[in-house]
Amino acid sequence: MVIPGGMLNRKALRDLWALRAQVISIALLIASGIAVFVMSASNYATLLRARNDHYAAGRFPDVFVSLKRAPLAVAERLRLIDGVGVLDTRIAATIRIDDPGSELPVMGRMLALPPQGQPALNRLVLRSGVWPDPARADQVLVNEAFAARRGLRPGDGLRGILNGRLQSFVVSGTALSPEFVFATRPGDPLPDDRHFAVLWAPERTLANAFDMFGAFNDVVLTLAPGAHVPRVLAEIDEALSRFGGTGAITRRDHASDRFLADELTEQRTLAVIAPALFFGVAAFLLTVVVGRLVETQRDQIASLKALGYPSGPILRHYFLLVSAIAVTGAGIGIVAGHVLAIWVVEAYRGFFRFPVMEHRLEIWAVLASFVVSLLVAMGAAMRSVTRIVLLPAMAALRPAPPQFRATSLPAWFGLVWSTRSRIALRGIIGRPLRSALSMIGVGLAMPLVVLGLFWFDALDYMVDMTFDRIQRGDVYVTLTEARPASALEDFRRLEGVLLAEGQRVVPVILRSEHRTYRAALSGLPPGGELNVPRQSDYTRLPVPEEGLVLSRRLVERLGLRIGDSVTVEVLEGRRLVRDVPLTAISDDVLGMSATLSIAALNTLLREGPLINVVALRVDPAHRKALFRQLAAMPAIATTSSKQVWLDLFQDRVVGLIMVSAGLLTLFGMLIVVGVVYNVARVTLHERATELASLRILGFTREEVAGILLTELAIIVVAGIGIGIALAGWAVRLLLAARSTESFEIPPVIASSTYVIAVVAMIVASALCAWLIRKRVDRLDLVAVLKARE
Amino acid sequence: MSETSRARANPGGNSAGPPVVFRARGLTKTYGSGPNAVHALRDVDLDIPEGEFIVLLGPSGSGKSTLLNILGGLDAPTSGEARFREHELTGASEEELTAYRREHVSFVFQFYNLIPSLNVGENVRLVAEIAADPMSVEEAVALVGLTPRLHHFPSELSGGEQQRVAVARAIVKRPDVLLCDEPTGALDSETGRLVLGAIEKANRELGTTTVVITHNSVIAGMAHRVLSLRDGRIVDVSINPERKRAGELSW
Ligand SMILES: Nc1ncnc2c1ncn2[C@@H]1O[C@H](COP(=O)(O)OP(=O)(O)OP(=O)(O)O)[C@@H](O)[C@H]1O
Ligand SMILES: [Mg+2]
Repeated sequence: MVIPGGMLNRKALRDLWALRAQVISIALLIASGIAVFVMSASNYATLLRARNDHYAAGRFPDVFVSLKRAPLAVAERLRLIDGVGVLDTRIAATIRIDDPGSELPVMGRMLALPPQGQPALNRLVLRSGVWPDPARADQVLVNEAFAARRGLRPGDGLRGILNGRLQSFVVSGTALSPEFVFATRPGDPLPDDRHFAVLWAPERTLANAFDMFGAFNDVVLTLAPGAHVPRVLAEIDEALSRFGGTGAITRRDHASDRFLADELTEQRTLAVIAPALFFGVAAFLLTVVVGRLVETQRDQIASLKALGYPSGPILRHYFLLVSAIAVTGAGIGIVAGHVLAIWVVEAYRGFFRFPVMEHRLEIWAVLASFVVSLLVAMGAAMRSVTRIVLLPAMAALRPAPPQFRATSLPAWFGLVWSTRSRIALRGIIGRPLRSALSMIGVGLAMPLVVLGLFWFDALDYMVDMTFDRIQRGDVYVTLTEARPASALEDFRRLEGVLLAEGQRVVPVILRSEHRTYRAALSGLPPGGELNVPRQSDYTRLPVPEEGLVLSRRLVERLGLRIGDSVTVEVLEGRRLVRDVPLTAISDDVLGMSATLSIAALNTLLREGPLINVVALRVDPAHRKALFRQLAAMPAIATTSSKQVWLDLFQDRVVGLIMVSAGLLTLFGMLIVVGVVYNVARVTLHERATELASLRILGFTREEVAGILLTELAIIVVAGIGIGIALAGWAVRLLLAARSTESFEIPPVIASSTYVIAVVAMIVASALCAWLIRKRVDRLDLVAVLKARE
Repeated sequence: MSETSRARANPGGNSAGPPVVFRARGLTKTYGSGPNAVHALRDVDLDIPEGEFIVLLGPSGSGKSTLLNILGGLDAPTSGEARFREHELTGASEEELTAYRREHVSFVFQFYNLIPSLNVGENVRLVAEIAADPMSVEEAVALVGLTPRLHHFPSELSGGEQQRVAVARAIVKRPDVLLCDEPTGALDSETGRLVLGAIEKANRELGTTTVVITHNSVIAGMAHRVLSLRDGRIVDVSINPERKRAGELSW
């Protein structure tokens, strides 16, 4: 007996071939969604695995504290605190790397290694060379990122200024540490491997240089299972307060861990949001195309059923058809996603320093891709297929074309439009549901393009806001100690300095009920030009005589409202504790800032008019000279340059964002082509007789195509309108989903972005129009006369 | 009155009489090649003088539609030549054929091919808008007796009414040539007579050269000349000494 499916399978293949252009465009849409999904899902898995392995093998601590100096005996007391797991003490110091070739001072974080070499926590992974010989005072390990950037190899020399004394070292090897996956100098927004090094030296070296024999100034610890975190932190702070403890922090406030966590959030968001969008549109297109296919094959289905064909094989036939599309799309998407993922992981390597970061194709992601694609495709086909197949055989199987009635159009129509544009308009009005869906389909593509492009606007805004409006100084100099405001005169005299302003910056803990945050509290001169708190619309926020200005995210984190009182615990000097009212909220985009007038801060610290940071506006022509003079000045702890940050920002952040922006734009255009082309093909198919009739009546190809293209143009224009409305909303949704603490990306969309997105839509539509035009040219007039529906 | 079995339909034309508008020589249309080739037209010669009403008869598959479509600039012959006045139809570009149809030809088919989204008046206006010297839409609609239905859509009309709209649409531009392929094929005899009446009116009053394909030999009574096709050849040409009016036909 002949299996009933045999002929039908051949028919499925023939249908696929006949619809190939549409099949390909829908498969590509599914592929885009799957590609983003597979890429993000495997990046997420790769990062997560690399992090977890590194953290586990390296015993990454849960809590971090630094302090001034405590005798080793104190460590024993800390270990007794309930909830503390493994606790390690060490000596850590900030040093200066001597590098006359560098314009900016190069800073280093030097950490002591115990005599046995490997510390109990934050265990190192040796990447090259050997461990420092504890018997020699001049050997150090250097973090891989700095070594790579500076071309340092084992055996190379390195000079550092430790506690004011120049010392020569030899690089014994390079290493990685779980606490410096992302190596940043405390307080810096981004890792700057050129100007920041991590060095590990035998304990003796540091004890000698900083006079720390029998003492420590840095504590890291893991938490015991079930530990009550706030209580552990509070007890540690209590125990260390006499020794200059600056407050225990958890991983949440650990710079390296937070950057990693942010990137993980980012990838997870991308893995969910983008595919959802693509699948939505692909499902819509499948519904339209399969619906149309079934519609044109009504007669065939009816006669098959009249011949006694059961519904089962017919249903299976159509599902086979859509499954083929789904599986093809998923297959292409998985390959593309895999390639993209490999590429992104390569980009990560220069960014996140892991001992092992292996990219794997995630089997679960592959399976999920197939399952989701199939489900979406089946779901899309379900409605039209079952509706027709389950109809009783031969019953009312005439297609129902749209019915036009004399009353269905407003009277002014006749006055305004030529007869041909009326055909176009009624083509849209005659199928209101399909037209609306098509417009929405196009409308969904536009936000995707905007989602890709808005990053540049948002970054522009962030850079503009942060570096041009808020931190307006070109160079910031941190002094080793607070000095009288008159010290400013020394800076004003330097060649190239146009403006100098003194600031007082102290580390504090801000506390509101049980919520705390470690911040640098900046005392700013009221009316100052170089640091200006702002609101999101750029308006200046005057620094009040009294009272705090906090950035919005900090206010949210502390659960504050204007007028509330904030407890400020100063983490240096006499460690004063004061309550200060919150008087204004600022909108900075990078980091979280806390500001006070400098006079109020001096009063709070019970000191005279002192400054410890100098902000400078610099004449670019004299930059080099200025840095030379600064290098020669005493009592300067660090110097940072805005230009370096801008370059880093460009280098690190913009590069990564470019990748996803480019992808989203490309995929957005794919959606436009997919929607417009499919809608046009379906329309062309339905209207072939009508259009051929017009050609027979003597209308030119241009005129006939014009009718169809007018319809498409109306759909595209309406779709663009919908898209513009949706774009802002989509951007907000994406940002809400990826919201992280280290920095918030503002939902800023420049009008030029809208223009580019609209142009992209028009270009994609024009491409479709051209393809459709070709098809209209090929209309076979004689065949159309014979084939009678 | 039949002539030879391989009749030449008025070759060379009469020396007197109206000028010839259609002139075809050796028209051949072949589909496929080799043993499977289908010969739709075989070496057809034809001259049609201006203003003549011609009926094409012949069994199914004899090549009537093929011939009509070539004359109307919808199809191209495999070989041979056809010209309308000074227009060379064979070898003409798609643009030239479109312009030819637009300026000179109107069609009426068995299936009405109205634009479903346009009402009666608009379907007719559609053509009037691209014609050089159209009659008014109202006039054309009145010619087919559909003035009361001017604002109705095709889906609101019967088949016969739709066909009359098609005829109104065909004659509104005062075409030089009216080509009809089984215009009454789907209609009952009474409606058929109405439709034929409108076609006849165009032929008599506007002097439109008219070619009508039909399976109904009664209709042949309206023609000046009746051409019979078989197997792609004109096998018989008969001239009606007296033409019947559409109203006088009965079947
Ligand atoms: N596209 C085609 N491919 C192959 N053969 C064709 C094609 N179109 C027409 N034919 C053949 O050409 C011959 C003439 O066809 P045509 O349509 O002119 O016949 P007709 O006289 O109009 O018939 P009917 O009265 O049935 O309409 C037929 O044998 C037909 O099978
Ligand atoms: Mg025919």
